[in-house]
Amino acid sequence: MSASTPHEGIRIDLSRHGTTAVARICGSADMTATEAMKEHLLSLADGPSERIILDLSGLEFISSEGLGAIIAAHMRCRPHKERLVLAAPREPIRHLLAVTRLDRLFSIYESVDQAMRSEPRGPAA
Amino acid sequence: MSFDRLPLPEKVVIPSDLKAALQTEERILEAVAEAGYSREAQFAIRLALEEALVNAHKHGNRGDSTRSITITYDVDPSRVVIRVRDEGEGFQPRNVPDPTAPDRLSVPCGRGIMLMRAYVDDLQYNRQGNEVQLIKNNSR
Repeated sequence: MSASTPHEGIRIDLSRHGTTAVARICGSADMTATEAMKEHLLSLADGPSERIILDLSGLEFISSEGLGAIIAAHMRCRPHKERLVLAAPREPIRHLLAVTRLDRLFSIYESVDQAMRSEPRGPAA
Repeated sequence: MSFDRLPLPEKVVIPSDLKAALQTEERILEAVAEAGYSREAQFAIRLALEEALVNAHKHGNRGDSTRSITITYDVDPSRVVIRVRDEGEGFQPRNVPDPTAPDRLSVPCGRGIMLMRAYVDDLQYNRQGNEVQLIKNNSR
């Protein structure tokens, strides 16, 4: 596992499982951290991983800017909707994803294990 | 489109800068925690305040650190009132497209106002559109 600290207050731990990358985002994706987080996630999207699982279990806070960073990485992964998926968001983050209706844009899994076991569903409509 | 002009007891004027904005946010959130708000309410206030500050910096002041952001607030055990004012020309919130529309879900930006509305009990802009007022009641 490699750990990266894009910015004070947030850390991204990256582990690789075959062709899948699991990025565990920990801390607060606040206004001063999101630009660095975005660069990190876009770099991951531009890399060779066939699948990227963003483990949100350690994410305590995220603003619309942080959500935008994840969306930008997701769009970089198009046309395969399932190339970048979300896993294990805490309740406040899950609620935020529902309020913004981003739960319709992203596939969200209860756990990283569940995301690992799921079958990629091919290109998005 | 406008809110009453009752003065609020606390006032902070900061340069339009994200680090300064974050420090102010943390200061207000400390007062919110001390006033006995739930974790859920603290999350909501943090999110709404952060969106207001980022909008003031990026859109109102266009990232110009020579401009200022003025934050006035009142935190008491029953409710939190926060106003965030920038030095921009203002805007009309009703002209901002709905970010939850299916064709806009994949757009990375434009969720700030919607989130503020969703997470506080009352959100209003002044007539010019360069100051927003957030009110969150303590629903213990």
